[in-house]
Amino acid sequence: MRFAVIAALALWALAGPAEAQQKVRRGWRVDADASIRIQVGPGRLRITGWERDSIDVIGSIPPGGGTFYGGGAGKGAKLGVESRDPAAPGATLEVSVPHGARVWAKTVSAIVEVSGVDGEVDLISVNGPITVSGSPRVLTVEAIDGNVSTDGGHGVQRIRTGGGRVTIKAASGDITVTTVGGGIDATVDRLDRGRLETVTGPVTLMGNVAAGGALETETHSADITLRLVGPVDAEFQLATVGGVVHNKLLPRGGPQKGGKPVSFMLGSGGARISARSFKGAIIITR
Amino acid sequence: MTCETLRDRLDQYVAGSLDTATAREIATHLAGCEECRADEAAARFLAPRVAALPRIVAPDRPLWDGIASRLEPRRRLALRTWLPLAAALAIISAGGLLLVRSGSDDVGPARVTAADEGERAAYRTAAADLQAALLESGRLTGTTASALRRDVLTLDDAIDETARALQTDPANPVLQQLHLSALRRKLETLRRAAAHYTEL
Repeated sequence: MRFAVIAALALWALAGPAEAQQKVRRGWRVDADASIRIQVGPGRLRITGWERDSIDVIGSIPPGGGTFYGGGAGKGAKLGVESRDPAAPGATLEVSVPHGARVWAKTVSAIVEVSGVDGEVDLISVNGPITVSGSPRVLTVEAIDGNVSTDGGHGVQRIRTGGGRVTIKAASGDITVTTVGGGIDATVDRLDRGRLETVTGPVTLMGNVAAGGALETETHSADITLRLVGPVDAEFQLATVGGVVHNKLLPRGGPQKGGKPVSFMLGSGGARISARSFKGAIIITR
Repeated sequence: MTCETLRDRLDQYVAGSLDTATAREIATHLAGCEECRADEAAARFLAPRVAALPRIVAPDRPLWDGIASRLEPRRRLALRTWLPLAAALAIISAGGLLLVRSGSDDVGPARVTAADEGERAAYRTAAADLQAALLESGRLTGTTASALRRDVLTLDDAIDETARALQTDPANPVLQQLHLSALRRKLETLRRAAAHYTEL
């Protein structure tokens, strides 16, 4: 018993103090349109646009989670958490940036939330979920497998992911979404230009296309559902090789099989809407 | 120079486009950093493969069809001349590797041409090369590799199905577009993974 107590005390003495969580609190000035590069591995990254011409970072890094770095001034700045351990525990960073900044962020599996940034936003991720609210002038998301959700955009959105699901709520704009297995669910007011493509994920769009605008949708095996809201003034081209076309906009619109393309026009045909699938159904409705 | 700074400039270093002082600084860092040397080796492996991908470009057929159908005959000639050039410039400036037909002025009904076959072959070759570099070599591991493998299988199924359908109906324009889309998407998916591999 006495030996055990001595051994325990010796081990306690050798172990030393436990590594503490690293708190991050940094701020520095940059230009209103600065280019800001952010890198985080796992964890959580929240980027918020604000009215000040400065960057402010609040965060915490757990023991073994890496080291914070940050610097730059004027037109460029960079910050993040550097860790060479792929299994490092995740850090949490809340970063405020000038709302007109150009933000470029890359992560591995971090949960990414962006809001209030109206400059360009470029996000790269492996499999962390990404949420963007507000309207960056140009939003680019490149993910291997993460879900992507945007809300309130009216600029350009370019989103590519593999198995992730993409959800978009937009007033207008130019939207391109490409996935492999992830579904696409878009709710728009009046889209200027859209291209929604998947292989096995369903595509659903609710809204309308602006006069002179164009919407192209394509899947390999999943259904395409277009729910058009308001007056429809468009030229349609619908084609599914092995699926069925359900055209509920016309009195005698379906279902039609056999792979023959269906073309028709409503109103003066001011917009172009096309849906194409190898074996998915195409449903056009109100 | 930190590892992070070096990684940001590694592609330029490998391409030999950095100024002498920066290149020397990177070389010094590499001499003493095993992990960065591994990154450098990976970048050197991927760079020539990415560079070897075709850079020819012309507009998508659906887009071109839409433009062409709205043109008067005499205006088509002018567009035929500058459109492929403008599209190529756009892609080069974007640094993209979008593969499409070069100089095609075929605005009539879709039919199978040598250019179509060449274009498909270019996609297949480029995708196979990247797939081997990323997956079969074991360079990508973990969740990234398993997600990519799953997506490649899905895309291969789509490519095979549309290819088989094209064998029985080779002049079907919808099938041609769907087959080309599947090929293009596979290459894009692999390129995206390659970019992650070199950047993360």
